[in-house]
Amino acid sequence: VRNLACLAFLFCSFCAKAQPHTISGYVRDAASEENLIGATVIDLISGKGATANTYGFYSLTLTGDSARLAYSYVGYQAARISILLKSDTVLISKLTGLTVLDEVTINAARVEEVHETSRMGTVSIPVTQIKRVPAFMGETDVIKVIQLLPGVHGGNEGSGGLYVRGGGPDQNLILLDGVPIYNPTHLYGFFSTFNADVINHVELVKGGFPARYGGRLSSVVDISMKEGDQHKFHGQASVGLIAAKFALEGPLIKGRTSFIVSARHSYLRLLNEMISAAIPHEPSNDYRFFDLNAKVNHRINTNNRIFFSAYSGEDNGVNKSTYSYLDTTANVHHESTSKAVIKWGNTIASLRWNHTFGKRLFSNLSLNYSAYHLGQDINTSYTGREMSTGDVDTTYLFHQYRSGIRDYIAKVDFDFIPNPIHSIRFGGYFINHEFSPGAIAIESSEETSNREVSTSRIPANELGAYVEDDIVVLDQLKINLGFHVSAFHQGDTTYYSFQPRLSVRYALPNQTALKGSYSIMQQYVHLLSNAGLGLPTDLWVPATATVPAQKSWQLAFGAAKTIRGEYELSVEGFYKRMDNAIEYKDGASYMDVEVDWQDKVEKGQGRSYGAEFFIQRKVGQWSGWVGYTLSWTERQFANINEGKWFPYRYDRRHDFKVTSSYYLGKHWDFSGTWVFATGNAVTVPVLAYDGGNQEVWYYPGRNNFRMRNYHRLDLSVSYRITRSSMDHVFSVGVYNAYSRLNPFYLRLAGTEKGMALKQESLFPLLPIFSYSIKI
Amino acid sequence: MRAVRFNILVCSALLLWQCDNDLYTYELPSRPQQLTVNFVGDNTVNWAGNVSLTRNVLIQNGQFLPTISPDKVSVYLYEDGAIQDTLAPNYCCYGPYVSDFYKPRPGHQYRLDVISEEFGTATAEVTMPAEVFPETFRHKELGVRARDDFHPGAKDHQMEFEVSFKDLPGNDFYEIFIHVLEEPFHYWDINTVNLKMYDPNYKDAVDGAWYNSGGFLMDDRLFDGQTANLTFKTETFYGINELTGEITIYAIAVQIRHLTREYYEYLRSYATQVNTRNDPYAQPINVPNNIQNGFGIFGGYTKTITPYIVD
Repeated sequence: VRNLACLAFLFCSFCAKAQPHTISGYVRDAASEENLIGATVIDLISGKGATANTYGFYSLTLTGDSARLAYSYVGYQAARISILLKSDTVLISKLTGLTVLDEVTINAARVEEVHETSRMGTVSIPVTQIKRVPAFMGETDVIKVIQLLPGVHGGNEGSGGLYVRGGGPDQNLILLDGVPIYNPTHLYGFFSTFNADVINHVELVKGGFPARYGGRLSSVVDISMKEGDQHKFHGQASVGLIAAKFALEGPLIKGRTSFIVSARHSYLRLLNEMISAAIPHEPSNDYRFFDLNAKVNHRINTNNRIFFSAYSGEDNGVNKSTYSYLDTTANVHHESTSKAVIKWGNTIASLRWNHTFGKRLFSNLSLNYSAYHLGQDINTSYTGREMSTGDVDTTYLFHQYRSGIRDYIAKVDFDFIPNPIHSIRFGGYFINHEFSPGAIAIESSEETSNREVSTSRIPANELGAYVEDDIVVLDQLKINLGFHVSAFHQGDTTYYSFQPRLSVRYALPNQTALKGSYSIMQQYVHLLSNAGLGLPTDLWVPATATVPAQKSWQLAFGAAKTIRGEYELSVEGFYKRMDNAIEYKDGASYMDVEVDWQDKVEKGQGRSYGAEFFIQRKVGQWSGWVGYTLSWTERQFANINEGKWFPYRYDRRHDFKVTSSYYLGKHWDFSGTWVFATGNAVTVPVLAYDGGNQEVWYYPGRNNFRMRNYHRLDLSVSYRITRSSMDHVFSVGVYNAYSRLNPFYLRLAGTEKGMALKQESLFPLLPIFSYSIKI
Repeated sequence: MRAVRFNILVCSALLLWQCDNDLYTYELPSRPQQLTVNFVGDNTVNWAGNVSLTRNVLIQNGQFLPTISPDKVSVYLYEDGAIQDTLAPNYCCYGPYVSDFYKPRPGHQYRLDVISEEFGTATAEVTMPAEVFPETFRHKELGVRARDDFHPGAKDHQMEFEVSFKDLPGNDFYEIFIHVLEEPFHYWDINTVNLKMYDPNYKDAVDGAWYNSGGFLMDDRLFDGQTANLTFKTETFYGINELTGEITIYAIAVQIRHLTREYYEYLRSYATQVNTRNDPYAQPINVPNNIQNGFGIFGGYTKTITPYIVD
């Protein structure tokens, strides 16, 4: 098990004096040759190191005449190799994955530890850890796991939204293989679109943004798909409570070309049909979602590799109802029917070419496509039949709504490692956006109400470039310095932006470091979203002359420490300021496309500040993390709350999360998660007074009241067994183990005693079940 | 194993702590009662209004908001800084106060003091705007179509109305009505036409049928200091005999209300609040309040009704 496979192309010759030589190559899984993103390479003699990039490529330039290299990655057995440095060298290192039993007993796996990197606000989550977290309805969900990190939360109960350090849900750049996904949710936001079975690596950046990222204010979620086993075929299938999925991977040309494909489909429709059959007079619902991932890669030679990956997913919900009765007084039979359909989905595709120029320069050229669409159809009709005369009165209304966004993206990135002091990344991109911010068609029995409002498609172009350098200034001092420039053109308006980025790490004794970062971000797209349930009413719109681009700056300071190579501790304080955030005006409706969207929004600013505490253990029998965030988040709009600052809806003073997994022997795996958060801020009236026809309610301020605190415990246990060369995993558990009725929204409702402010909740205790089989 | 035992212990504690399955009901922070003052005047009737009290929103009282005895309240009206009247309570019922002699006069400043020993003094000021008359008015029939209902032969007449008036410099606020007068100058027996406005320039400036009054509420952002030319349409004009096609009315009247800013803002937000308060997805909206140390509205409008006799 603990073997090391290392393919080396060593070009050694005697050398009389020490001069720089570069060792470059890839770090890969020994069995599948999957790239190991973020694996570390350390020269134990000089102490110099490098980290594999998104494609597993690394480059390390050393000045000695020999090197003792240590390769490591979480979940893999570390490998060491000694070489003589006579010339530039290419080393393709292959690490062997640990079995469950190995992980229990071996703690040697190592990545660049938190006190070593100059970056702040960045968390990598091993996919194995993601799969061990108790899954809502049995569906492993990357976004739900990210929500368990400090500084991040999901908004409402069960929601798949991301609110990072006081930012909004539109301020997150969610990338799948480098391509943005605009709405990464299924089932009204309760599940994410990412199938964990095909994910290789997940990284969240919430502050101290490297210059290579741009276009969003608050976070980057960078998800990389697996590439497929280069040597063997594997299959994996699983069933949960609401969906089933499979994944298949293997070589097309052994050692050169591989593929991976996965599909997931819900079977909620079956449940709905059973309910409809049992309760025939209830409204009939149908809901289904699917997603499909596919990726092919071909290794042309050592220096060239191409990838093609694609994703498509869609949700489709239908609600039908019929109501009829006979009015015996008027002798008229009335019948009303309604049918509402909502569908939305994303499609992305990416073609990439990796090329290495020599030993120190790596490039990635990509052509990407991303599209998101939303459609709603509402069809209502009424028929009144006068029984005595047979006269029929019919009215109907058909309401259709469409919106969407489409991007074509060309991007080139370079990694250049000229010497051990500098690690430089630079590149550029061009994005052609096309926004379709709402088109509506109404057909009615009253012809005068018929209308078709088709807001024209809005083209916009975005151009950007960046350069960043990870510089080892001193042994103790490391900085990541860079800048990102961009321009955005829409209509007659062009925005330019210069965004400096800086992260600094100063090492202290005992594997401790002090850190600081400063970053400016600019965002050219806005999301108009309703403030309520997070229904997929998302309307992406561009920055315009009237609604300018969003901007932010963020300052963070902190400390990081690694204990015995097992525990990572970090403390970060941050202050973030956001300008040109938008929000719907009071009473504005996204369905009212006759009013231009620019006239429906308020422009304002936001600020968020606080501190995050994070302790993580990635290796060993017990793993998990504890995170706590103390923060304040506020917004200000000229025409809301009398222009005064008010708490953001998702302002949370306290946010505490514990995630823990424990291997018991090689068969049993216990996991648990407990979260606690201050309740969301909502606006409720406190006084009523005479307003003439009806009473008026007085709201002392926007978001003047707190829902009660949110807390929830999830537990699961998995049993893993291998039979006939197949791995079987049975998982059972409970979501919301002590059935806490957490607030979803509040409403004023009449009771026998008067009015009451009542809480609506979504999920009591729910079972978790899944079964998967892997060949 | 220690970790497992610890987890079991923690889970057990949480299970005991939290097993509530009833809908959770919240308490609201209590606030002291305050005076509510509602006086909306117009230049054709004497000053009149109501004084009542606020209540906790969770205490359901239907339409019957807390009242305050007239013996405990004094209401003083000032015009241009000088006291004009002490409004007399109507002892038939708690709340209404009226002036026996005085109407709001265009261009004059008014102040209202409502004094209560228990709830303090609520006060407000307002300046009544000038009267505005239409400069021109035209109407024409656009077409006729059969009505699709239980009345065979019934027809709907589509009409267009054009109104122009001179706007004054500064921020002004209007509400426009078209009325049908079936008898000469019986203003108390007029019917209001349900109007629509198709001019896209005004789509955000006007707020049609905001409280089913039939009026159009608008500010003057599109014609500040100039002549406003407004075009309205109606789908169901009923001043024409459906069988003979003859005009059955005496006149069409144009009513222009020139509103105080306070009353305009009150009207717009009041309607929105009433319409959206039970919608869990809508952001709540506050109704502006110009009563110091109290709640309500002290404002109004000057109105002109100009009839155009139909031939």
